[in-house]
Amino acid sequence: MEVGQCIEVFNPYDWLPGHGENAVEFHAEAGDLSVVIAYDGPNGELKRELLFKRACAFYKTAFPGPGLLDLHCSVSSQVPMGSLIECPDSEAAVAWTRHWNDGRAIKHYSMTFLSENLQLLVFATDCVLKDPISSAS
Amino acid sequence: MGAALGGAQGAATGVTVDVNNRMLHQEDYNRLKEKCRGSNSAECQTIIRMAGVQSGMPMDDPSIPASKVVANYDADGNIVSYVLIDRSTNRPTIIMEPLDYEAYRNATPGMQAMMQLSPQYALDFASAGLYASAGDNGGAAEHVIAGVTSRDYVRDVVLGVAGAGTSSVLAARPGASVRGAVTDANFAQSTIRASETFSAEGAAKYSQLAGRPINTVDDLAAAINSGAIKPNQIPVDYVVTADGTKLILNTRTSVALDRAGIPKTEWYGANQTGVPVPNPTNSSSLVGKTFDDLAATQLKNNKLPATGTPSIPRGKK
Repeated sequence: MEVGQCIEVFNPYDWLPGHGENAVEFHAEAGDLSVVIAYDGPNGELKRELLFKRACAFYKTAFPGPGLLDLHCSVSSQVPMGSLIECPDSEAAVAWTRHWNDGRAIKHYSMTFLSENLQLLVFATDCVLKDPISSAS
Repeated sequence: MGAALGGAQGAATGVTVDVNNRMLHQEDYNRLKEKCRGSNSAECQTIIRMAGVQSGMPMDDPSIPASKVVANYDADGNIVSYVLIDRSTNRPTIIMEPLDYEAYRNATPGMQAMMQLSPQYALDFASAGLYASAGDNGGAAEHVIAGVTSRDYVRDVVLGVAGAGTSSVLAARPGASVRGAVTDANFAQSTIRASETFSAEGAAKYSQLAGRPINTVDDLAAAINSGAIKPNQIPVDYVVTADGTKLILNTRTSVALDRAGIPKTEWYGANQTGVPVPNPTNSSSLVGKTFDDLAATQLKNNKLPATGTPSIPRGKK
């Protein structure tokens, strides 16, 4: 299935240090996918939660690594490599939306964690980036 | 360039013993051609044949962005050589026979830039490698002889840099791990995380090598010091930029090597210039991206200039 062009949702390096994230945790709960990103702040480690709402599918893989999915992309983009992206023309997202009888508009998200060497693919209705909190709290 | 390139491509794919591959800096070619007056040696026949009897117009080849290309033809209209014309100076820089031209245009811009700067004997060894891979051992031997009898090669042996000169060409082969390849490389990152931990993937790889848990930079440095892990088992990836700058991509591994007291001359480097970044989910933001782009991203995220930094990245120490 064709992934198509992408648009940038946000670039985490707007708030991450140059060396990137320290850790990434994944929690699937109540139909949502929670991704907690830990990173070095100016006064100790901070965490931010990236919440994918009504995530009907997600795939986490080591990066770099071989591909296992029936997805291909024929367009390149200038979006920075570590950004969260959305692919509005994704055929896979359309397939998921049809699966739900058009009751849920599913979006195709993808993000590469350059320091933790991970790549994440999520099909969800929406995503929200929460404010940073101290890792100690 | 279409028709001319098609002809060269055909010659390269249908390699026969008639396909020659001499590559020379233009000034060396001019010097040899002058010396070949009245000589009928095999090398002089090659040198004279490369001149052809007529030349085409300078043309663009998208695979060689830094130069224009002129094809030289023999009396039968066959292409006998190509000359690269530097776009900025408008001067000829390298003349090469069709097989070398194919290899050159398939090289990355960084590799092309290095070949422009390589001593002649390094180009001779590169040509020898092409001959050998094309099944022409006689041609390979001729170019090895041309390399080792070069005055520049003898001078560099005396100066102790010949190994570095030839290995810089060999090191450009993607993935090859070469000792000393990153001696003069800079870093694309200025810091590492405060915890100095590796990613889960990195920790798993190094733990397997050491036979004990390796989670942090200090763990890896201790394993190197004890001999449990040797530098050749942990080559660092690097890329060569268009201006010849080498940039190291594996920052935490580099810090561990440094902390273990291993001089950069003893590190092993794997050239990833022009190599596509594996993209397991076919993310649109990585389509067509190479390790060169990864280095550029690291530089930007670390607010470093295009040349990176020679300083060992800082951790908690």
